[in-house]
Amino acid sequence: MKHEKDTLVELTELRTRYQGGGLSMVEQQQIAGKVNRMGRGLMLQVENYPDLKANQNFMQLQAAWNEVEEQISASRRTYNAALKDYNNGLEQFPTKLMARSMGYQPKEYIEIPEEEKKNISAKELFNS
Amino acid sequence: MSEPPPENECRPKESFDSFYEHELLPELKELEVERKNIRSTLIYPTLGLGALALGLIAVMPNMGIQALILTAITGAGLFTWFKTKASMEFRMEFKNRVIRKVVSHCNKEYRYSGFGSINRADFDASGIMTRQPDRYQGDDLVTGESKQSKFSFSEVHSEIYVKDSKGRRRLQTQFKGLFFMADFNKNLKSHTVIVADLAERFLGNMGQQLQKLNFSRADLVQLENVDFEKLYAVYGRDQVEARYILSPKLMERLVNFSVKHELTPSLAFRGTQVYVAIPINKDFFEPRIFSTIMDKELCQEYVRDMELALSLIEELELDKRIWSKAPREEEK
Repeated sequence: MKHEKDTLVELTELRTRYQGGGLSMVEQQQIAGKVNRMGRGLMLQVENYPDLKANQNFMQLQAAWNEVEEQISASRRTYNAALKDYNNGLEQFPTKLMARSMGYQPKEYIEIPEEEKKNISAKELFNS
Repeated sequence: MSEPPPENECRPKESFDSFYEHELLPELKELEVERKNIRSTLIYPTLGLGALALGLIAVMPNMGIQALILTAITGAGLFTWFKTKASMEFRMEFKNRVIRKVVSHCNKEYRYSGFGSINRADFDASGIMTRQPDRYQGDDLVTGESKQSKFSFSEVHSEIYVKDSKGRRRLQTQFKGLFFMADFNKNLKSHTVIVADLAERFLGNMGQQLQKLNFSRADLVQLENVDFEKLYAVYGRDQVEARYILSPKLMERLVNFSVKHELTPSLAFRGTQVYVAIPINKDFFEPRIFSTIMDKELCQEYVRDMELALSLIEELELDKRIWSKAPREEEK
């Protein structure tokens, strides 16, 4: 139970830091990645609580969480795809000349966690 | 007790053998008699047409090649008309007695209509074709439900008028094959279409540039799976939603499906539905007229065709509801 409590406390701290603002893009990404990993871990820990796992409200929460995760993943992938075009534009002629004169700089891709590349497993989630 | 087969698979082979022996064969034996009668009925008009053609050649030995071709086309047309007319009742009976059992063999809950088909409105709504067909027909409609997804599929043949080099209008096949539609398991707001990517397959990067200029479709969505990109081109108004639908796993599954079956289906996701058009140039679930229908291999082919369509349920994960899409009204 202590582990779960620590996880929740840490999650709350991360959320407060994120909402506080003043973070660079890289820091925002790091926090989002950490929250994502911890949330995923929390969902898997539910295996230890069969009553909670069978609870209708919790199942709805899992489905909603899963939905949000996939939506975020799709947005990340879209951002990276657009960024690829942008970064390529900075390297290619003639857009390269325009970009240089307008001061455009290459940007970092959002790192897609390994777990997301593997995709969500219904079996893991529902142990069915 | 043996474990039940997955929903997309019909019962195992041992069970098929027994099913064939006990359920199909008695029907096939009776229908075989009818088939032989039809074949005999068709022999006389065929011989008559042949004799007529020979007679014409004999009477008019100087008949030109054009007249010969015309005679042959007329003969073939008349033969097809005779064959269709004579075999219509037989086909109906075959579908009702044999194919209906094949469908039930796969799942007792599935419904079959030999002369029903996917509605033309649904075919058009999918947006897979950029042009509405001028002629649309289909048969062998199968409907069912897997977990929370209702699905249906049928054979569809759509044709469009095109003009040839001399400006003559003629019908050309637009799509022929299996058309499948089902409730999709994710909430969608936009319209995403996935079609076979012939441009990139043959022209590489230049093909990709050409795809971007495809004005009959929405925006091109370029995805990160290289194998998928080689096979398919994705168009949609919402880049995020297209990626939400096409998760890395789904792209992988579609690639595997294409490789395994050597087919490149087109897909569309719109509203609550997913549509899949699998181009296959053959007539599904049809009896033979000029050779025996008491053929186990032929019946296994019917089962394989069913399994091909049903495998889409698994490939598209329609039997999984791990997203927050609300259940259908009647389930609430």
